[in-house]
Amino acid sequence: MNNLEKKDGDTRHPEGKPGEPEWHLIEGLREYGIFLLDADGVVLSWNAGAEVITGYPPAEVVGRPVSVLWKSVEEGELVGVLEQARTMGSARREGWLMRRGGEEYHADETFSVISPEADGGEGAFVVVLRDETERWREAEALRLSRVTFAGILEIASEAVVSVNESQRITFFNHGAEAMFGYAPDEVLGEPLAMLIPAAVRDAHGQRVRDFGDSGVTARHMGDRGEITGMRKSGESFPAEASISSLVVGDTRVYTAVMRDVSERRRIEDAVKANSLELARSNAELEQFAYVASHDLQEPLRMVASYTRLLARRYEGRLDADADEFIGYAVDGVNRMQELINDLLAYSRAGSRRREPADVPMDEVLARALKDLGPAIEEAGATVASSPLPVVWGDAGQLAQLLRNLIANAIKFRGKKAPCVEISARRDGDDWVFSVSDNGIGIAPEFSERIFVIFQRLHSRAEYPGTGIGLSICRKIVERHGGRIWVASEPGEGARFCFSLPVDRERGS
Amino acid sequence: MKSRKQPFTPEILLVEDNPGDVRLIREALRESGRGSHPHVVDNGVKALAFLRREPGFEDAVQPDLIFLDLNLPRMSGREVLQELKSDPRLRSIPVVVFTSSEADTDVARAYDLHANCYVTKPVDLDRFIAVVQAVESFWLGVALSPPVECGQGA
Repeated sequence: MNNLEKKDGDTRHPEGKPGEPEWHLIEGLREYGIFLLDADGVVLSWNAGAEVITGYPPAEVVGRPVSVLWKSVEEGELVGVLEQARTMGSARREGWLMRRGGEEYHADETFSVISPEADGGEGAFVVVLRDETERWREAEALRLSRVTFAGILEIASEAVVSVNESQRITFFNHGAEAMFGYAPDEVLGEPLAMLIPAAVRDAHGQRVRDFGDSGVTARHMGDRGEITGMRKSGESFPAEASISSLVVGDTRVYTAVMRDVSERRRIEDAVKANSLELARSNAELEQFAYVASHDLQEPLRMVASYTRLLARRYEGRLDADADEFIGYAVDGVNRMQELINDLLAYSRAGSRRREPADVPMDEVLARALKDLGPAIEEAGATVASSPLPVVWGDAGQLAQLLRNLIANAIKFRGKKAPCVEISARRDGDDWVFSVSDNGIGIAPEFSERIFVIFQRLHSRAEYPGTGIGLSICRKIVERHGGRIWVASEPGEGARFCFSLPVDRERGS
Repeated sequence: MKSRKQPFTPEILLVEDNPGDVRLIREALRESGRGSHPHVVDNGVKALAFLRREPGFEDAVQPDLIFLDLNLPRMSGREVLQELKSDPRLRSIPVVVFTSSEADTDVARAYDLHANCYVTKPVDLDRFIAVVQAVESFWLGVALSPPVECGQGA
């Protein structure tokens, strides 16, 4: 720029510097706008770059104050900028300017004093103008995204915690405050260890280091992405975490996003404990039912035998009251025996007694019908069946299942002679068997209850029974991987259905 | 010491701790009119003492048939069975295991120990009496008892 100083007297006339190669270079430069100002900020010369950026040809701008380029001018702004350049040697102005066509652009202008003696000691200035619109937009977008990102992190219910390479906390969002119970100023700059229970601290630190070394940039930590955190209160809690590692410049930042799963874990644990407890109490109940019914048999056999012996020997030899009393005793004993036998059957249905095998249900049906022969004959029942498939299971239990269902069909008969039909059809992966009758039927509201042990819908005088038969059926069917249900309306007969898997792998 | 004489009075040993069952078996035997003579012991130790005429049972007769319950105090029916089936002087006496257990393992174990038959106690009185009488009738009426010499001289 020294060459410009030499041309002191000619600075008002840029066209008056031909032949100087340096100025030609400047004049032809299109990337930067470069122009000279006098002491009052009036444009003296104008290069090609200035014309490209501002849109003004030299003729329209030379002789006018540089502030005409600005989008808006504050009172005394130009004077202020020049004054600053005079005192500091240079001044920088960054802001919005307006091109000739009215388009706004963001630019950077640097004012430098070039010849303090010019203009009677007022000096002259050279201005370098750069169009920074593109860069400014990028920076603004970045700033906006940072603000947005920070805002999202702040409102996220997940806890977001960042640490630097020395494992000190550098970011702690609102979710983290809620989860850990610390305010940001209590943790920022502090070691991450304060958020981790002492017992797992070492393991965690190692895990973070391994992760950093692994070269993976983001992944869930640990097999199930689960870590243990510690609240300000000292309470430990399980959290699901994903972690990312970012290298910013020459530092590495680890960011963990965590979700408190203690409530979910508590529910899972409770469910697990409940089902274990249920399985245990079921097993105990079965064991109890077996032992109780077995051990009850002995004393009951005594009561039964001696009551009957009494009846046999003394019936008609005592008075009418005695006969009635004996009658009730015998009746009670009979019912008790029935109950115990059914309970025993129920508990046996719960235990696998035989290895499962291919069971032709036709044979099972024949066996059940043979067992029920006297009852069928006594009721004048007709039993019809279509061919039945071979299933996988315990033949004895399946025979009991059919026996119970057919016995029920006969027992709960209406005025008509009972008519029972047994059939099976394929339904997807299951065989669905049905036992239908023309009996008294069951109101739909009882269609679930009847399968519960000891549930009876009729008085003993109407239909005797213990209320165990269908619960045994359900148990047997469920043991074989199927389910049992009933479709019926009162007076319309009942249709009991049960499914058994076709595929033996799913069966018992 | 017993010898076949007319009229034949069958001697039966009941190894049974339930007095109710003892009485029922007695009733059944009485009703059969076969004149069997039951002797009763209520545990396994006494059963062996009776059969071996140990102190307290010096005058015991050798039974023609034994009804043996399985669940007994002091010495179980299984142990009694094992003892007497390995005793050359006692093993020829027919032993009927008479129990309320229907467990397969009990049945199998009893036959393994050479029980002569295994019979469960029917719950129904009429059947109970019928079963006792059927057992009595078969072992003391249909089947021939081992000759006196059998076991005695061994």
